[in-house]
Amino acid sequence: MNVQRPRTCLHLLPLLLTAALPLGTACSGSESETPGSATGTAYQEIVYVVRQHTTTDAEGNVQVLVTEGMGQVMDYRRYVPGARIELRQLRTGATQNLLAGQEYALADVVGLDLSFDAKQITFSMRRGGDDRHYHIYTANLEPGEGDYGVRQLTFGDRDDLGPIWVAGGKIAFVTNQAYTEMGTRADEYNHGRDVTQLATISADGGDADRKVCSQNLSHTVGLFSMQSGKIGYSRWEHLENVNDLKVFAANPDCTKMVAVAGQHDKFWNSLVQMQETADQNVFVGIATSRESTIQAGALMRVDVRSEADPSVLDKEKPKYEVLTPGVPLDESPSPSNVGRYRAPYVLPDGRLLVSWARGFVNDLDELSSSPPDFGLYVYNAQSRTNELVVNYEDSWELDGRPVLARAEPPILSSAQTSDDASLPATLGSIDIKQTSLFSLHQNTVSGAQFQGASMDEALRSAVRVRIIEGFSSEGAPGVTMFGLTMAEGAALLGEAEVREDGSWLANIPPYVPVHLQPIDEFDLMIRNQTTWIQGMPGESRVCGGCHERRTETFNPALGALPLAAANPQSFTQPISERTEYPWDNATPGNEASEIQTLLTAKCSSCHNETTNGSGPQEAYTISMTDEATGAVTAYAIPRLDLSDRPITVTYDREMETWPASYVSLFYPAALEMEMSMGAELSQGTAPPVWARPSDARNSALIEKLNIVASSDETRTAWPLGVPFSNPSIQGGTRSLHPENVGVTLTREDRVKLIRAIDLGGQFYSRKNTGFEPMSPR
Amino acid sequence: MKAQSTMKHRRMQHRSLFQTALASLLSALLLAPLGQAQESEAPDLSADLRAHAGRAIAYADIDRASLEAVTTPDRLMRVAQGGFAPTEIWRALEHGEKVECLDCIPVVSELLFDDDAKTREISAWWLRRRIFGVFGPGQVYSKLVAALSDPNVSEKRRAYAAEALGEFLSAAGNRHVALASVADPSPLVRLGAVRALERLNTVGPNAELAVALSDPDEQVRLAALRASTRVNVFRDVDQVVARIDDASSAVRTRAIEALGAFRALDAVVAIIAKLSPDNEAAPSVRAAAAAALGEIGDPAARPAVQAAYDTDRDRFVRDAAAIALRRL
Repeated sequence: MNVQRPRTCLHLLPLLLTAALPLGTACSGSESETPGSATGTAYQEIVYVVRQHTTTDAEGNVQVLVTEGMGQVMDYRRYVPGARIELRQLRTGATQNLLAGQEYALADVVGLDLSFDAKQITFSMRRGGDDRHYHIYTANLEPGEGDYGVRQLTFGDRDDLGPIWVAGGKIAFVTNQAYTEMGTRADEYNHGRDVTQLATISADGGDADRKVCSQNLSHTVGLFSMQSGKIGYSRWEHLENVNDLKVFAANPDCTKMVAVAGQHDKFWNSLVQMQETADQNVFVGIATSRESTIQAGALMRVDVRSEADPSVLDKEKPKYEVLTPGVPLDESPSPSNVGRYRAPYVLPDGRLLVSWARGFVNDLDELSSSPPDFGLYVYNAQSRTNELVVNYEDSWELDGRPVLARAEPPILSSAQTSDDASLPATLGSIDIKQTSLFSLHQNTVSGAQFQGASMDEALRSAVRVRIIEGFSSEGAPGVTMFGLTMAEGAALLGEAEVREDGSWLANIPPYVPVHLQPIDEFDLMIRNQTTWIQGMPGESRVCGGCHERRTETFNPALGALPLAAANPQSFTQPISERTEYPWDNATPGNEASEIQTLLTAKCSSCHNETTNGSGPQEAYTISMTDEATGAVTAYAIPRLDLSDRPITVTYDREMETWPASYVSLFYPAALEMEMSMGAELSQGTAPPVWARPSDARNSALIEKLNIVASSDETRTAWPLGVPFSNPSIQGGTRSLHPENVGVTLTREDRVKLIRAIDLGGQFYSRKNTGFEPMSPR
Repeated sequence: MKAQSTMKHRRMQHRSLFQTALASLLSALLLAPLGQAQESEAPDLSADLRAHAGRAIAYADIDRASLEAVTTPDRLMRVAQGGFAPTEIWRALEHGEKVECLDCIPVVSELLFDDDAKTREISAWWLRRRIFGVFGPGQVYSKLVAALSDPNVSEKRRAYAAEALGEFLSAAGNRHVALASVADPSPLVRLGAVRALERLNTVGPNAELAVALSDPDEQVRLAALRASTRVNVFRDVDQVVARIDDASSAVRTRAIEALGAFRALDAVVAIIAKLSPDNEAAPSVRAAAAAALGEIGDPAARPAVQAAYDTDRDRFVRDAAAIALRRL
């Protein structure tokens, strides 16, 4: 044993437990020298949660729940009764159940954390019976008056989960509380399951001091305490094609959200269950697939210390180290003795108290109804060995904590105290041209005037910044999806002007998730921010640039203050007044923003069922074969029919049909995905990708139409008279269309089409569905 | 560290290959008829093509591990045919969100009647995203509507049909599930139909959700109470108040929780009555009452909450009262 390392008896426990030797003899010689006492890191007890996976009902029916409620790393609705919270004497092996008693017989527990003084725990519990929600509780580790003083702090029609202690007597957790005019958010991939958001209470006042942070479209999970006083967490990042979990942090007052890790150079999908090590900004967590691994994975060390100042986060230059090289980083079965890990906790000597199970620990366990057996171990990353602490054969031991006081982080002052949704949040940049996207990440821009231009160069052309609100299907009842796109629902809050010094500033509604798109003089998006950002009421979130180096200081390019600072633009209009682009069937009053209205007025006389420009309409065919019956159904899709004629047949007049325009324009992009995997058209030739969701710059329709600059009508996005990038676009060379055939499409008309595509190419919005804000609560 | 650097190197190598290849492939996609586009000399390029085909070019700058890995049509078909763990089915369908595999539709539609609830749910989620092959006459959706109203179909299949209509999120299903939620003789079907109303975010064309609040079956009433707090336009608070005196303590608890969420000032007197052990034997109901009164915030409730804090024998009722007192 390394004598420099604080000693514990944990390494002997496997032998002691399996051989049933007198436990008191295991640490002989250490009676007078408590392990770790010299460094102030002595602990004699651990506390942890015991969760069940198998139940037997009154009739003797056995039910095994392997992945129920935890198919994805952010899932939380896994209720199996019979949980315990055990306090275990390491020296003797004696355990106390803090949840003893009939009132906890049906309880389940999710998440546990130890207070900084090591005298209390906080945990989330559903007691069962009439109690059908998880709520936040505390308990003492020293019994008094016959029990451990279990105290319930939150109540109501919601689940509160995964609590941690925060400096200043606060507790942070995640909640699925419904509290906005949009209802509870529901990520498209989690279907009917409510999104969990960050919230805090005080340990004294519980719900009386409840504060809920601004929203994301997808779940927040896995909170952890940071030395800086911030709350770290993993967030399901689901924005169109992006789908993973990354690490973020926020102040306990819900402000100053920052990215921490996983945004760059990640060679696996999800980073969850993080803890900060003794070295500030160095973390240990679980690296795994988003799904199918029973919320387990490999142990990963993540170092995001800035080279210049280790106390500063530098998420752009992460150093990842796999601490368990044999464990798969994806969902594939793990080799039998390698297994997978969950819930690491950094011990004072740097080793990790982990939950570990051998075996596949993936969907194969589910298929065979054989739950992995998670027990508590100490993992030594140097020797790559697990040392058993405790493992019951028929349950999962999770969230282990040594009973040991730890330093309380600094209390970060609460700058944000209002929950008044009429107080705007402010977004902006000092100089949007400042970016690391090319210098560090080689991001380039192509399409229209750019051919592989560096992001630095492209951003010099930014004239405005689009601010796009995102919402999921709860915001548009009656939708089957948002259309032929993976994008969420979108509303344009506004486009903030970029001033001469590159600055911009805008007030937006608080709480609402948005993402940004700097746009050029042709109204074409230069970059699509693939992270949701939010602000609390009154919060100001002004960046140096557009994905600038966070470790550097940015000053205004001109003068002492950014030009935009004097006059922030206001985009705080209510939902009913936000700009959305319903493709068809706009509800009364919203016809002006409907795309089909424009296409019918300006395009469909030439592009319709029978004609396509100067020639006849062509079609390509896809078909469906029912393997069981052998029946074949064929569907002909017009090459470019911009009319509103129904292209699909529905059995019910109440059901929406898809207009030919939408299918004509967006089906080729969907088909490109299918074709890339080897599928073939049953007949005909696929047209160009007329409309590529979130990418008007590379959409053949926009190239065909072309557009002039906002400040100079003589300049076009695509040079005139030059062949189209795709020779199958009819007309041979670029022009301004349809002006070249005698029809006028205004610049505003073109911008509308560009925005509809850049926002994601949705068919549905809140303006062609039955959306009504949540009734006052 | 070796593992780290090796993986990083591999990733960079892969990315470099990808960037070069993507450019040529994108031009190939533009220049050649689709169907030939995936022909490539690079052996591991197909995965990158799958990752990026049909998507905005900007996503080529994102680490591939962060992007959705797209299921192949072949994989979709095989997984849906059975023999896989539910999580694998869920994964294949979710990652096949934009895979226009028409041949998969008849196979996936069978999963709407699978014994696993989430498999049913995700199957509907995948099917509702299809432009073709699902919503036409005689196709999946119309079969579900027919099954729901057919008394010769088993109650389990009717219940699953109701759930699926909810998951399809089409307003066309509103009247069908609304009718089933109050008229089907099977509580299992009514339960599925009420859940569907919640998913469809509707109270039903004739306010059927409010009717379901007084369903004879406890589970249906509980589902209706849950829906009442989640459907944007639910306003029949009086029907929730009526459930305060329900025979089931679970229903009484949920009703009071819902009234707290509604900030139902008019219900304060009725909720106060539920604070007393003389009127309410179930501690869960008394605790919910104390918490709801704190949430509603009417100072008139303070004496009753104080009395609960001082005298109730149940610790969780006292906890709820203590916190409510801070809010009153």
